[in-house]
Amino acid sequence: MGKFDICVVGSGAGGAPLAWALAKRGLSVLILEKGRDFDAKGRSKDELNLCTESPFIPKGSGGIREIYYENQRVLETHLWMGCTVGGGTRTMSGFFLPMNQKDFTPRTSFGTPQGATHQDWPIGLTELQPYYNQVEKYLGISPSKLTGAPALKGHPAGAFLTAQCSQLGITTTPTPRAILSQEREKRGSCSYSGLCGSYPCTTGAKGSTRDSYIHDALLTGNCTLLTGKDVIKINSKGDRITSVETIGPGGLERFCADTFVFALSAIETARLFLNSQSSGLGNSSGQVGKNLTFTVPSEVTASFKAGTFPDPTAGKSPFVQRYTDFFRELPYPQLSYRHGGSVIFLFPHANPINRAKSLSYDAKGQRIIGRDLQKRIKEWYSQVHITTDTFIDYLPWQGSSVGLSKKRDLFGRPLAKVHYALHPSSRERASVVGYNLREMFKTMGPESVHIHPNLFTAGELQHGTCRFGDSPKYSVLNPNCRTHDLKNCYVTDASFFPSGISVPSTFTIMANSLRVADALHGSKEQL
Amino acid sequence: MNRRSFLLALASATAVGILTPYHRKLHQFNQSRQNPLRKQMYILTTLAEGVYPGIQEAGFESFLTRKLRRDKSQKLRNQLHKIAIKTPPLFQKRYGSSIEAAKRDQLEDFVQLLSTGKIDPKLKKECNRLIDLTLESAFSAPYHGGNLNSTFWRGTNTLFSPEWMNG
Repeated sequence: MGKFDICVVGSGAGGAPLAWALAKRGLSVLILEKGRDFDAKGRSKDELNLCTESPFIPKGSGGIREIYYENQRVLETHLWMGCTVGGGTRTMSGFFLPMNQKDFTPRTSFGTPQGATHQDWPIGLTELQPYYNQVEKYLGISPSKLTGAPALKGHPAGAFLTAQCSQLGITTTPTPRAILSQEREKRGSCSYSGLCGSYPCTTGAKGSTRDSYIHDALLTGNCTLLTGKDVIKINSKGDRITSVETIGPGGLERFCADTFVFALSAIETARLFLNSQSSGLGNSSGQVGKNLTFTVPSEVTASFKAGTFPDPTAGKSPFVQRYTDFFRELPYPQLSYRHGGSVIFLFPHANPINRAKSLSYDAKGQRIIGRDLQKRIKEWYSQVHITTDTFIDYLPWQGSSVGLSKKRDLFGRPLAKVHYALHPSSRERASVVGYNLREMFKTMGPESVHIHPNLFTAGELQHGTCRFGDSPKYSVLNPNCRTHDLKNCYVTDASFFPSGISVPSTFTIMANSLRVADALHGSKEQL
Repeated sequence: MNRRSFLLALASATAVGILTPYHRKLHQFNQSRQNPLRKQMYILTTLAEGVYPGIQEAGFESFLTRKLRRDKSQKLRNQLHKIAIKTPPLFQKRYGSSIEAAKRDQLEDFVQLLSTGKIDPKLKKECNRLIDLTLESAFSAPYHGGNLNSTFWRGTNTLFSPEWMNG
């Protein structure tokens, strides 16, 4: 295969927008994707296939990691987002909230708790706003002032919540989602399926990069997509990358390009860099793999007696469709760090298998079975539940990092060794938000309110292992996401985040990918 | 018995003594590579009934057969064999009757104790796997075979109707 202008590794939120933007400008682009393409039709709404057998986790030794949460070993296939064309965007819930100005300056605005290693961003909202707008117009966010797209239909529970929250002085607004509320070109509108988050979309309404950026990049004729290509090594000479080596059904292959862009996910990009040279590729700062962040969860579930709260099956829409910014800056001066997060209201995850499994454990972790379990499940479904998804700033610190394990995969590469734990301040803020949400729900007359005791993060949103910054001493990437050490190496997944943020990160990753495409092409023309 | 016959008999006895455990292990190994036999499947289904009432009738056996057709992993087969072979004598010893004739209370109690490792710590992992498989069978889509006529979904306030799931 000939030499390409650009080689993009990964086809998710970080890689696909850049590939599309550059292919549209006439550059030859090669996309290498580790996973296979997955047809959304057929059994896409199959909870057993998708959530139990997890087709988006690489099979065999490729999907195994050595993971420790709070120094305790956890499931070795944890922390995968979506190993397929489109990456995690295939199964995302599509909550697209932009960062605010203070998210870019957490250190200046909120200070630095002891042990935290977060940094202010070298760019601000003014630099990113035009690209947020581009994503909003191109991908389709509902509701949107730019395109005039209406919000997705909300369930009556949303109106109930809004009324109750406003009495407490908490404002809720319709959740902006990367899901089309109206049909557009080859993408259908939302079918309001109860199985949305964690499942691929059958109508193409969800803004996965497979149905949008990748699809259009391939139509330009300048883009080649190769699936099943697992990049195992980066070859470099001096300050340039010369090629990448992949393993796949065709055996070992080598691909050459002028410029390489890596967007595998924060964990896999760090692993690849660390595996590619003895001291780590682009790692003169020693920061590759450090400062891993997620979002801090603080799940609160309120259970209402049937009839006192709108039932999930009552309306056509299964989405509550409300969120609040109220907790993005916590109004408590006694906290050492007051950066909070956005809170999204939703019905609990619809997968009945996972629900039954979680109900089969009591508080002590013992199994409940037989008629007791049957009664418990029946009781759960006789109530109406509403829960929260919170996206609180996860402080980077020495407790969260990616390194290399002594264990190796089938090809002899060291596995990723992931340590993660919440910084005490993150834990404190999660408790504060959880307590407030519990008190808020209590005013609505539920039968019970339950704060999820385990702050174990789901890990879908992972950031920060190759942070960007002005100084080569403290960062891996420059403000344009090019490595300080290598002149033709860019990273566009969320590895570049130098701090945690208070919103879901997918919107920002896509916007930044387009910004890097502009910088890479050396042009500021509007796409 | 002459010297020759004696030595021959001694050698044969030694060979049998040495080889029998290996032969048994080989037999067990070969067994574990296969899907559960009819009788073993019956034991598994009976235990599953103790995990979630009604699962036997709703098609747990059919679910498991289909799963084994899809899932070629040796680990799963080994776990199923282990539980199907080792539980009947344990049940017999504890309750004085065969597992086939077990009452619901006994079954629930037995599976509960197995899951905590109180009966045999070596079977704890396998028992918890069986509980998970039973719940997967009960709450997966009917075409997987274990939730005949959406029996268990109907008990969940019709939340998982095809209209609700597919929009």
